[in-house]
Amino acid sequence: MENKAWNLESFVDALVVELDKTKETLAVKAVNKPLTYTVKDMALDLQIFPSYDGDQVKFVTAQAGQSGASKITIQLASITDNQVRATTKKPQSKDDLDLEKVEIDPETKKSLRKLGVKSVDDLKQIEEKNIDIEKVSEKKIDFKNLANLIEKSRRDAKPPLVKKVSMSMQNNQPILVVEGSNLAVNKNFNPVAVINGTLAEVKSFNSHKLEIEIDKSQLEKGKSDLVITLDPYSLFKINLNKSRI
Amino acid sequence: MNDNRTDIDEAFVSLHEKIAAFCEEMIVIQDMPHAIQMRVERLEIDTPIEIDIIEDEYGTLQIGAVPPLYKVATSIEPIYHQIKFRIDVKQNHHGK
Repeated sequence: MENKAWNLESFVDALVVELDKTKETLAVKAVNKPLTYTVKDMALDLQIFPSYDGDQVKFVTAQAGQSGASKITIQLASITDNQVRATTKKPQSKDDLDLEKVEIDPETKKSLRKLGVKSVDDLKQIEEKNIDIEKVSEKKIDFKNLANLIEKSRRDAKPPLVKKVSMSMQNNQPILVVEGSNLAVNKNFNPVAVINGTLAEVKSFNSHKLEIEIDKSQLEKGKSDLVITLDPYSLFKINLNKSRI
Repeated sequence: MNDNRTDIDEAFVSLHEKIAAFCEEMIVIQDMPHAIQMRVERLEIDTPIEIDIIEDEYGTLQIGAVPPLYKVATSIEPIYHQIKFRIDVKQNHHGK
């Protein structure tokens, strides 16, 4: 029976879970006895064989009969809540995006991980401090390309949804009303509408409604193709068929 | 032989059960006729331990532990890790 390889982060997580469970068990125990039990200053010396595959350090626990193992000592000391606040990163916010979920090539992902960049917020902080990430990383990270991929991932997480398309008249001018959700959400980009290859004016737009002015002559043609580009990462096409009631 | 075990070896128990079990040793000695009570306030453990680390079906590591199982020499020597911790016990003044 071969021992499985594990990484330190998973092991420490498991150890902390075990200590939490201990705390819970002891808290229950304290209900019946007027005593409070506290486990303190835990240290664990493990006999392990480390390995490094060029990407990650992994450990295999030594097993019976094996010699020449290395020793790793894990010491869990108690720290105060102030120390925790000072030494740990803020939890990821709701709007933050984990870089693991962005379609970046593995090499770039690895370079970013080595720099401690795990999320879009981390990247933003580096940008705000005016650090040239392309220079800092030995492999050249194309920051502009990265920013585009991040925006694309953000958009993928909130895709546009068209629920209703209707036609109305305003000042004797046909207006196409597109309703739905997550429509015009990019503040840096105004939606663009093209009908049969000709630009149509988007009169108003927001995340749930677009109003597009349509040239009457375009509608006379019977079948029309309307292409709406909401932002650089989302566009959709609507086929308009003229019919008489 | 199964290299993809998702359960800790049956001879082992979860580490938290092992640590909690040590608290059973925190005995209170009472001498009622003389109204004397003594109790252990602190227990420091420093012991070799056998450890089994497995990955469960959800990909989470589980740590199983057991103090040395055998008192006799075996042809294949087990691997002993070392665990050290302290248990402090305080009397609840409110009795709760």
